[in-house]
Amino acid sequence: MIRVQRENFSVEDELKQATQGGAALGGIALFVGTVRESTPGDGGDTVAAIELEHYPGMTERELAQVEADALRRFPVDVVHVVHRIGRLEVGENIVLVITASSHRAEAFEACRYVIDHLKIRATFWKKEFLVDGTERWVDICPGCEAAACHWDDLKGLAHTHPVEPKSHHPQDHGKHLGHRHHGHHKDHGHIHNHKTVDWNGLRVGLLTLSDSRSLSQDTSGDALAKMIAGFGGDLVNREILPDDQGQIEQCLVNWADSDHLNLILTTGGTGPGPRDITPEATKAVCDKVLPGVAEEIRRQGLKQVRSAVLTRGVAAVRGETLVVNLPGSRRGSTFSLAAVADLVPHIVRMVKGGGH
Amino acid sequence: MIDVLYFAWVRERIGQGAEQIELVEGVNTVETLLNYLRDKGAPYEEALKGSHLQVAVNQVHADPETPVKDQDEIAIFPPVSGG
Repeated sequence: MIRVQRENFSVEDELKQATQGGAALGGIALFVGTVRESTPGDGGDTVAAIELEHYPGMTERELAQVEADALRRFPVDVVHVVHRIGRLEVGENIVLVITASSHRAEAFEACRYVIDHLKIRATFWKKEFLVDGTERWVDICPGCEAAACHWDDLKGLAHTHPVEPKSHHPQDHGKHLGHRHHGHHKDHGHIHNHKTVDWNGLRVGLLTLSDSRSLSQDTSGDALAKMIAGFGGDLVNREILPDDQGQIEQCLVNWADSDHLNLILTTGGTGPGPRDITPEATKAVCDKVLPGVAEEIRRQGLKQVRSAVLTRGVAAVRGETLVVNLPGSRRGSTFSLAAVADLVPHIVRMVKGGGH
Repeated sequence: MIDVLYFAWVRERIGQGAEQIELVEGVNTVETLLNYLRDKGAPYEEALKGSHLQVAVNQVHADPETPVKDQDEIAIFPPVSGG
């Protein structure tokens, strides 16, 4: 349930409303955002009140989308969001997020997901009225950059990238706008990726390893394909194969030697199970291993789930083709790719003999 | 005609929250629309020169390349800051 309103809300009443009849709910997580007196990094100016403006229609659509995404992504039974608009004094409630699940971990994760996505997607704007009588629009979002890095589905989101003004030099007219993921705005402190990912011109292959799935059920592959497109890469080949070392090796060799791909991403077959053979197949056909790349994937993965230590994926080079093994789960594979995506163009340049 | 909506400081600098604009030839994407508006001079040039504007087409977050066509609702705004 989502609601946008001027009036204050009672946390207790909302909690009752959100969880009514939910006898099976074991864990309820709750986030309340309030008007604070000063924003970190703004020099400590004292805020007297804020005015919240929004885009009626779009705001509700965005909130409904975040709600739907959270319900699909996490095993939660309740997602309840109330956001206020209008003039609010210091200390007043701004936003409430309630999530409920049978277990606390999912409730906490979903709650964080909703507030992080709300802050980056929902069309609200804050104006601060300072005690000295001046007013200003808020255009920094403390914590949003970290949030954008935490969630795979916020990385490379087109709308987090600003629409740049046209160049003042006629010969450069509109050039920058062609590169959707070429952020130049590290300086203004909002939500843009701190890593610039630009795969323009890269030829990419995507190989899913699974004994049980078919291409139509390949949700990890679908998610990765979307990310590749988002980075501006060209997905040339996509295939799904069983966990068979010979077939995997043959495919990697063909894509590297005949199709001259710059990058092959594999997903699946990296665990300790008896059929998991992707790292062995990769190493068998590659000349050089890049341990640091795989370690970075595990290091970032560990921030998410402890089982990230179990992935045996490698990153390695065959000729001028970089091969990176990603785990098989949708979440694991997309998060792993996000962890090293910014490094790919650099590696590709180097394996071709280019310098740093 | 398209409806163009402005929010937050973009609205303040333009001096109004919404207006209707006749689409001219060559204006068919978010990028070309923004350039067209900027070329109109004051107050658009100043209001839209910021480097971190966002645009929605028919209430969906858009890219510079997103198509713009007759009857669309286009919103131009600074980075959002709710929550």
